[in-house]
Amino acid sequence: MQKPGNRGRIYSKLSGPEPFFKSEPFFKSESSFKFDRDFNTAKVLNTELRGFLSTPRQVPRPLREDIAEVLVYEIFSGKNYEIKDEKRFMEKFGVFYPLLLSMRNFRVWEELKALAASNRMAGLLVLKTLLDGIFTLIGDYEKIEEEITKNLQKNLEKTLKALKELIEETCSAWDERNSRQNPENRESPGSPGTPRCEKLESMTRKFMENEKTGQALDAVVEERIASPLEEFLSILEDHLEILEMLSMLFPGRMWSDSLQALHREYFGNLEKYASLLRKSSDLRKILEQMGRIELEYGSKKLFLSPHSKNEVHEVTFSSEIQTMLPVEAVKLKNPLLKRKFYADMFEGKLLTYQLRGKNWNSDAAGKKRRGPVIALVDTSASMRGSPEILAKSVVLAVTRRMLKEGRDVKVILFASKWQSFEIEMTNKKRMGEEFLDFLHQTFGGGTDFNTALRSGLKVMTEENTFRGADILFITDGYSELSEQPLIREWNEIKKERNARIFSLIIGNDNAGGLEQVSDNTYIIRNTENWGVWESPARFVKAIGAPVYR
Amino acid sequence: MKVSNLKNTILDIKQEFSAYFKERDAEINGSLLALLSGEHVLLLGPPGTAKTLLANKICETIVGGNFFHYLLTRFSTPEEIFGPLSLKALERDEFSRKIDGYLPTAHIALLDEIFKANSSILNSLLTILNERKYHNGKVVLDVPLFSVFGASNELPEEDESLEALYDRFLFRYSVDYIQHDENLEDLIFENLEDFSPLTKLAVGDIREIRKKSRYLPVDPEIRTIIKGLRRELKNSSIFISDRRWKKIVNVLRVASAANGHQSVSRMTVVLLQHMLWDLPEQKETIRKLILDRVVSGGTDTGKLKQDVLDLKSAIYGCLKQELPDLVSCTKCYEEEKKTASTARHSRFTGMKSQKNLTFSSTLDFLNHYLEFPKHTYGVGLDYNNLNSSLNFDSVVELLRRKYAFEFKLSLDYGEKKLYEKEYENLEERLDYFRRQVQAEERALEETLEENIWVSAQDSREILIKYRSKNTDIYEIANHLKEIRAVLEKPKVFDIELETMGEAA
Repeated sequence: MQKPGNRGRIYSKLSGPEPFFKSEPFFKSESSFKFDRDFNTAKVLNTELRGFLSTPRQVPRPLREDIAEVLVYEIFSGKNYEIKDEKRFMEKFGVFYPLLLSMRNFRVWEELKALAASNRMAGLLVLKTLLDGIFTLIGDYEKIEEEITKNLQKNLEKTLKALKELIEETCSAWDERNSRQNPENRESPGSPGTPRCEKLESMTRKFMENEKTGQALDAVVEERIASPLEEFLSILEDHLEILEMLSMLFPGRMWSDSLQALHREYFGNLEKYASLLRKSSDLRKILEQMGRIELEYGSKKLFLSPHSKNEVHEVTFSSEIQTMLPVEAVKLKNPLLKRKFYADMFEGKLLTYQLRGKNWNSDAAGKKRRGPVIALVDTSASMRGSPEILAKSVVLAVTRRMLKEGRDVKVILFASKWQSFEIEMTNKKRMGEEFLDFLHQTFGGGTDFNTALRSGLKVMTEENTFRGADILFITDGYSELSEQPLIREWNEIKKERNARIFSLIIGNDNAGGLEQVSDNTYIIRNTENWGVWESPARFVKAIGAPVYR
Repeated sequence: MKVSNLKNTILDIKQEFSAYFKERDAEINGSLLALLSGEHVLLLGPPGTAKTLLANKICETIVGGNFFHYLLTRFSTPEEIFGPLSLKALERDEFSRKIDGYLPTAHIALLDEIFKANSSILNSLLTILNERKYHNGKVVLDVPLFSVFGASNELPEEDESLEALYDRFLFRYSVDYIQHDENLEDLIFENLEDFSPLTKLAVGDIREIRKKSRYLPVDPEIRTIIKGLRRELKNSSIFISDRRWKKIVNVLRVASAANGHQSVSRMTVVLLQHMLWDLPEQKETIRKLILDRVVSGGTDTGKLKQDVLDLKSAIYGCLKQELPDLVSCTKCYEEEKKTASTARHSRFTGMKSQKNLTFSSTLDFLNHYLEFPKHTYGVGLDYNNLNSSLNFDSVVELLRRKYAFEFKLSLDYGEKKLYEKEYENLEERLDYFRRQVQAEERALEETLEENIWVSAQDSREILIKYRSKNTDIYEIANHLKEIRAVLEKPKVFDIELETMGEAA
């Protein structure tokens, strides 16, 4: 227990705004989204991209899906989409093949892949823009033809004409394939011997053999696809954090709709609170201390290891005489077999017992896991104003950080006696809407620490996910922790579970008895001078545009 | 009529076996088919579930073949499986084994505890199983092997070489203890005599049926079904090796030939449920998938339905515009306030209160208007505005004046063409599906009965599924009808805004 005057560390005044560097560790967007070894495109196609792909276009639906699948693999899997059978690919995709090759040449392609690897949601957004560009280019080439020819050099005219012809051929081949009735024809467009497919293939090949093709194609791709993408990327870059937060709050959600519904109310909030954190290194330091390393249960397991030799495992070939089977020794009796024995010995082909043993092995990956966090947030009326903003930004930062590290978070809002509301964000349950609502809402009500601690205790004891969680207590301290049994119970459970409590007192210099249970108490006395002026309006527009034509 | 003879023989054997082996119909079925098609069978299950006995008895039905039975342990040496080293040959400076009576000369083999195979025998075993060759010294022998029956209590641990062994067993059955008391009673009280199968299969017959099956044509639906299955399994991270697919089609051919069919019909595909799983947990999922595909003739009903729904929502999505300013319904707001003031005990329960009262897109707004044509609205976030509650028409006019915002109520010509194209495509797919399902409905029961490889349980399930497919068709057709109606209407929303335009 700590005496009131002797608090762990006191931040008398958090430093004011300071320059924000993108590379600072806390906000660095590391590659948080790791793909499984077997990358599965279907998931992306059927959930996030479904709404986009189902909107009718000139390009028929099965082809839209196939093209999207190629691109999803290319962009998200971290590997290139390897074309195993060029002929088949050309038969199937026609003009998309040279387009793909040309797109890969652009610098923006690598940027796009890097972005998608670090931020899935942003990657999906860009992918939609990209697909939109491709579908328009192929499906509505006639409409944009004039624009393209206008901007190009005269000597490419002929190649462009060839491109147009190829696009037309591709479209009609796709249409024909799509409208054909028999299912085996419809679903296997590359069935050999279909004259249409072969024509498409030879046309594509011929087009690509033309020496000016590269130049013309690059110019078209640059204008229609690469430069719009670049523009879009630069807009996105400013808002990666927010996107990341949203994607963590709503994993796997249909993105276009959710954004449309959410941005008006929530984007401003997220941006406001996130930018506050950026400006304060002291707050970040507090966050650094949160969460701790713990050994995951059952990560060590019994494993057969060749280093331990306490048990006969099976029979194998080797030259080790000490573990040799008796049947080999018999061979030494017979002069003929004796030679065979020596030959086998030199070749390591004696039948021998293989010795192995069980060892406690621990897997390097997943050995250490950082613990979950419970944030208790005071939502009383006295918090209104800058303490409220600060509290929200701390909660936002904590949540963001924890979700990024794959840890579980629970935010418990408390007010007067017996009033509390839990926002759970675990792998099983993501109450994203509620969380955003919390940021949106204004605080009001009373304060009762006892209620807060009791609900925190309940979560810790009753829910397996949160056993041994760290507790972050955010309040202005206008209450008193009075129930002695509760304090005693807390201190017991802290010892038993090895948990810690951090208290963040905003706008007060009295911790209201919380220091009796807290390991670390931070006090922010002065909460003036917090202001956020940045507007998210620009970004909201930019995202709205490509999704709905 | 050789084939019908074979068919009857198989039926006889099946009958004989199922009288003795309780609750093992699928395993008997699969074992026989495996014998005919020359594939290997794996029986997986706890000790004492008649795995070995079943395999043993199946082997006994074959006349004119060698049989090799061995219990593998982790200490089994090559001598025990492939025969002892020939001393005579060694004297002549040759290395060879005396393989007579061992696995390399067997037609059928039963290897108990197959996953105990250790590295000293595994290589030769794999070659025998897959290539049917045995390297005896410098001679490469063709092995006469038809099938190997493997029995095991457990799946191989993560060990690459054993996984290769596992992959070579095409048929996989997991057996369990007898479920019904009556059957157990029969087993332990009634079957006093040792079972020995009376009906026999000749090795020659097997060879002949295999030859006959080789060029059997495969129905086009099977291609669709298999392609669809492969895709779907891949999506759920179950990977079937190319070798297995090749073998599977071979088995289907043999099954149909033995049935006396002229081509491979899609009902035979139900057999795939015993060939595709890697872990027993996947069995049920895969079985459902397969039955579903078999019934629908390859069409993925779920996807078709989803596609139709997608198109429907896309039509509305196309009309969705963002309102230049928030519009909120004053009427609903007041009602909300009334109920809320009494019902709201805690701030926290009221958290989601204002959700549906404000509209940010035209779609929500128009739908609300169609539902409650008499409500009045306020424009903008400023709640002081609420007093000046406007009716729908004035909201439209206000938006037009202030932001030059026009509501989009119908698809324009180009869009309409696109949607119609997509619609026609879906309609054709549905028609195909309908024909596929309904064409066979009448003859279905007979077809199933006549097919000796489809178990009674499977056929019942298929029949039930057929009926549910009809409901699916009905449902999808209804959705399509709705889309048709929307596309035929001049406007998607029947709302008159023209007069307002003139006024402005």
